[in-house]
Amino acid sequence: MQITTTDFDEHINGQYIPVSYSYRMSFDKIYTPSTTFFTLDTSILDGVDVLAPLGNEPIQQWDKYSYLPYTDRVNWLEWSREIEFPYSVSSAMADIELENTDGYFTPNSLSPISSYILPKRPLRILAGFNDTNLPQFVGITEKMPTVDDDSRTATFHALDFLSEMYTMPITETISMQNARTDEVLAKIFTQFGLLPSEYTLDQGYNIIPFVFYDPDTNAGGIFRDLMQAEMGNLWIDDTGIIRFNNRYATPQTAVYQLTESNTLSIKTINQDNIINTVKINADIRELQPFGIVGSISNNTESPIIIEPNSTKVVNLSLSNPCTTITQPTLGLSSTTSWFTSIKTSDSTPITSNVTITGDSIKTNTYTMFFSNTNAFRVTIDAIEAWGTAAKKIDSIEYKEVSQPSIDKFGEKVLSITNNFIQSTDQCDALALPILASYSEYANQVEAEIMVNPALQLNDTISLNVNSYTGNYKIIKIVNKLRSAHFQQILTCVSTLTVNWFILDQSLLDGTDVLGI
Amino acid sequence: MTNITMTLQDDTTTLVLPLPEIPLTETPLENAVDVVKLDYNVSTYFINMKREWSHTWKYLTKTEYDNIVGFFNRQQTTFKYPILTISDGSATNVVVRMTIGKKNTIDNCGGVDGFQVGFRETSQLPEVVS
Repeated sequence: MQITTTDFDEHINGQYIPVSYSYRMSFDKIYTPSTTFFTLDTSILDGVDVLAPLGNEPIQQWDKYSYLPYTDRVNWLEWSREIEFPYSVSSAMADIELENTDGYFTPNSLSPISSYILPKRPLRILAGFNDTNLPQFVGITEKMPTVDDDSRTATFHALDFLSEMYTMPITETISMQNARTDEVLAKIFTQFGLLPSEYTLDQGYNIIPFVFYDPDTNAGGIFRDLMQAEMGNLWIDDTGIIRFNNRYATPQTAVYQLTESNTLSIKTINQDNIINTVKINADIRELQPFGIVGSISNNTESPIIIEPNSTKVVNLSLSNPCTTITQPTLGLSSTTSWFTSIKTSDSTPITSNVTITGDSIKTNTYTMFFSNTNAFRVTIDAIEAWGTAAKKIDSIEYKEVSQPSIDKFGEKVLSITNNFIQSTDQCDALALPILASYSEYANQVEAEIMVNPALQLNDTISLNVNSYTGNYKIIKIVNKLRSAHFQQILTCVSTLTVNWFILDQSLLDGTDVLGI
Repeated sequence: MTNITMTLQDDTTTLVLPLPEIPLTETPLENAVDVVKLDYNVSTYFINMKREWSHTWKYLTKTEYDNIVGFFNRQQTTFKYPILTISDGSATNVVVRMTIGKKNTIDNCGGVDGFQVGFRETSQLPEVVS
């Protein structure tokens, strides 16, 4: 929950509630590295400095765009954020309709910003009461605006910066051993140009023996697997800060209470969301000692021939992903990587002027760049690559059920395949809360409430509304602001208060859940 | 007691109109929505207040009519709303969306009767392409 003032809190459940909001965009994407938080008597009004949130938060990369106000042109705003089940990563999106009577947002028009009406424009939405606006969304437009000439409007669709990252490929190989979740996250963020000061990561509890990803792997898939195995949360909060909380940081106490006096409607979400069987599959890999990881010999079907004074790219298949491979050198060896070559015309062994000038490791392939500076064709007749491979030594096939729920609703299976999960204790830690939250009818509710812009995903709230009681976790927030029609709809799941196993305190074979 | 006058202004023209007839109607527009909670109490979300004025001239000469309608027409060429001032202080330089009613020409000189005009308070878009 965002930090608010007493005055702000009084408006949330007030009678005559002064709604306020602010909408800003950066069409020209002018980047001002010197941007700081707004300082009275120093910063220029409507200048580049941004208003600091009430918490003690750092300036983010996206704060440094030069945003201009377009609040006066807003017809309506909708923004939502949601935890992707069962991955524990969050995504946010926004839709904005702006007044466009004068064609200001029409591409290829006389508009002074015509040449800047392009995809990927940063924007910010703030909303609150009585001119105290809390940050609600920071992101970038996904594509060009939809311009409606009949209604004279322009509509933008935007994703938050983390959602944008989900769609992007990593640019360099990620190869790590015994890495914590936060260390892998930091490695990916570094590839995307973020500085350590621009994200806040808890220390992860999941130690992954072997992490390997090729360049061009979708970052979203990595984030999802990491978070699912960690049982933590990765999100970009309303103020634009990327955060990772480990499983122990999940708030357990309610920060807000829903009653009949601040709830407009409430209903159970239908039983299609019920899960009463969780199946988890994972490969367990272990890093092997330095040895042979791939080879080619007597390759007569497709010989590797290098023309005189030429180069050739050769791909060697790997049976297991490798963390390191020593670059082969010409000549047999029994302790490290090597290759041999012969003169193509008469099979005379060649011992010079054939070299490997570069190489790269991918999950299933080792690529070598051969060079032949001889004045004749040579054939690479054998290659043996030595390195350290992560070999599959076991697999997990885990199943946990809620029998009472199966008896009532039939089997509703959630299947998870995640190689970052490395133990059955970890499977318990993932499966038991899922069953607790999703195995019974009425475990998920949707409530339209008196708008509270301070609420955030993962906030625990207590319900005391009609027949709904107990603690629930917010997994989705939808906000709509159309003129004075301000709406907030929460989707919440009943929470199991997970008591994680603590050494010297928890009972062995008791109810506490092992975290690792 | 001085007569109330209505002043219309846009980028090209300023026109002061006497109001020989009554009423000049001002309607408050409350940008607010009531919501009913489960305990059956209500709360109100509001953003702001605007006003709307309407007036009917019983008779206008052709020149007077053309001058007034000119402000309406120029909304479509300048892409800007006119600015309204009413001398009793109820409106001072207020940007208004102008609407007009039907034209009843009643004589050979082009005189018009029962001509109705509406002004809805709004704000000028901050940057307008001309």
